Amino acid sequence: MRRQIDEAAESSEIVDALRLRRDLCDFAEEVDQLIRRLADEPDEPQADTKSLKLLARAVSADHRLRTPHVLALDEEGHAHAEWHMGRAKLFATFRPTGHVKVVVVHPDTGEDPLRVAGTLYSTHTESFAKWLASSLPW
Amino acid sequence: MARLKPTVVTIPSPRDDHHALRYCSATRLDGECRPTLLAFQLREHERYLSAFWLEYFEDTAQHDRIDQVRQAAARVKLTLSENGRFVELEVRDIKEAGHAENCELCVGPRDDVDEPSHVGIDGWESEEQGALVAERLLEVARRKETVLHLGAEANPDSSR
Repeated sequence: MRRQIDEAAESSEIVDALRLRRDLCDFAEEVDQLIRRLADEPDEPQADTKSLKLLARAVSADHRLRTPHVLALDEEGHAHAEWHMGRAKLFATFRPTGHVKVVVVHPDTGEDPLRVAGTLYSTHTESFAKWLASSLPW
Repeated sequence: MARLKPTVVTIPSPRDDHHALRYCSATRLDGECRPTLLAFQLREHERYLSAFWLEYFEDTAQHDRIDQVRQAAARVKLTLSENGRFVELEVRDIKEAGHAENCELCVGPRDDVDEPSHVGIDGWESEEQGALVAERLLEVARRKETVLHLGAEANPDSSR
């Protein structure tokens, strides 16, 4: 499946690749709905394929990231996802360069709640995704 | 020789109990047309968060104000899509979001936009701090569920 994602030339091919894995079918449908929903928006950007590949690889790398609560696109078509665990949240926007804009909020850590934001970079999306997933109290 | 008296021009500004309407395009909404974090992050060419001051139209009947805001959006060349939404935030909530992240947010008119109902929101010192403010604003918007429909007659003749 990783090869199919990497070789995908269009967003729809990424969806097809995700559907190859049973545990990613729900996520594939969410991505498909996002693409279809925005296809009718002539003034809005369509999904950036490279960015979407990075999101797909991140989600497929760690079971804790399988079901994002929110999927959207920024003004350049970069994939944006949001995961929740209780009141803790992880937000990530995947740029095609490999940079990921991340926000992590974890309000239930006592007197010193965790609130972190920044842009991170990694050439190894899967390892990075596992590390990101560990930021939430699953 | 007569001395010229300085002229003091008071530029109207929103009060804390007034409201700012931030436009969110369809891509920045989730599948249920609620705002995402992206709605409160700077767009590529924005130096501040652009919004419209709802009470600027206080002489207009309540149900016509959103129409006035749509017209103001057209005047500043902001394209509104049928599936986009305005998110309404109270100025007090915006400022509290800033305080929670240790910054003083300013909500007021900006020199670079010639539209009296337009306001800018800024005051964070870095992109990272801005991202955490955006998360606070998103939390308020979700809690208060103040998403306003544009209706089917969004201004199709304006250009970005």
